[in-house]
Amino acid sequence: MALQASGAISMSQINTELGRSSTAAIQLKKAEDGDYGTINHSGGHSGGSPYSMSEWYTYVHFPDLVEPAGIIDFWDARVQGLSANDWKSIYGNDTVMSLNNSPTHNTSAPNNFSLDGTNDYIETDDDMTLGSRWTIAIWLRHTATQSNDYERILGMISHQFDIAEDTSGKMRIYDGGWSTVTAVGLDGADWQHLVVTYDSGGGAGATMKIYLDKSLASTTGDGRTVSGKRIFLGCQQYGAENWEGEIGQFILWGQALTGGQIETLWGNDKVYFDE
Amino acid sequence: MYENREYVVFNVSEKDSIDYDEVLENSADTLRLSLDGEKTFIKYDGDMPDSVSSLDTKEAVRSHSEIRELLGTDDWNANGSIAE
Repeated sequence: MALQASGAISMSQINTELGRSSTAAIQLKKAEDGDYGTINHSGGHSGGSPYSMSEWYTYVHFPDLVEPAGIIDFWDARVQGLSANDWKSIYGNDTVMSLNNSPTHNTSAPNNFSLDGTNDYIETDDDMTLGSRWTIAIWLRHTATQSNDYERILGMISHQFDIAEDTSGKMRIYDGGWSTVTAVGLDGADWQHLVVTYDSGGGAGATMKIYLDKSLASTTGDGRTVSGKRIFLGCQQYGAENWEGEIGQFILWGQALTGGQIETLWGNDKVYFDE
Repeated sequence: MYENREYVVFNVSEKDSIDYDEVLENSADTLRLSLDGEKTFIKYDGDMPDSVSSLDTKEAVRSHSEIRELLGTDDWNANGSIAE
């Protein structure tokens, strides 16, 4: 099979080329990042990191979705990280998140961390600076009606920007005051891709956009600059108003992605989260 | 998903009596407190751990749905109230 100079080769192409009875191995290499190891047709993986097919999937698709530059960190539940209580970013600043009070790591596709909505949460070990232009992207799945109207999917120290789900399944945001985003329902039975972008506008007026499953659901002048604060998933600062649901992927950018980029991002993992 | 999980509310004053290797919380530092700071809770899967059984102020065992109901009340939930 002739390899193209850039871009992606899908597994279906490889399967077609090798056929069901092939004994060939697929060697995965990327010049700038080293040897990704070998995946044999039946023998599993050998070679260097990453250590599973699903982890390789994460790595191999990732270069497509980070253009242009500006990514801060990328956490994916297919790659947990350092230890049972850590979730390490696989791109950007390699920031580690602590898994507090035993979120369940579900390791069958789509891999995710399940939060029971009582006291478990995930927290960045370091302060995060998103700046005056940023994007927050989360693959999530609501698993129950929330027990109050401000159960946090995402929180920050000093509440610089919080994302909550209310008892009706609607999204609420906090940026100095609460707003209900009635166009965004987070109570779907399936996995949902929630993306919030913010651009301060440099004096021309701020714009915050919210996308649900690649579609622009809301455009407002809300949002604000985020600088130097730890971020929490599943609770507000320091653990309270806990959200019940599952989180499969969490990405931060120091820029406001475009609608086209968000559609690409959604497309990269839609099939995986539909498994 | 949490059918085998149990939750026990007790007074914060006994938080150092818990063996955190026996429960699902990381440590006393990650406990969730009631809004007045007087109560907290721990959770475990399966049988009640010894250090939980020994608590003097423990309340009746709650299921996942029962603790969620409790945590939605004004004693435990700030309901979006924020003092920045």
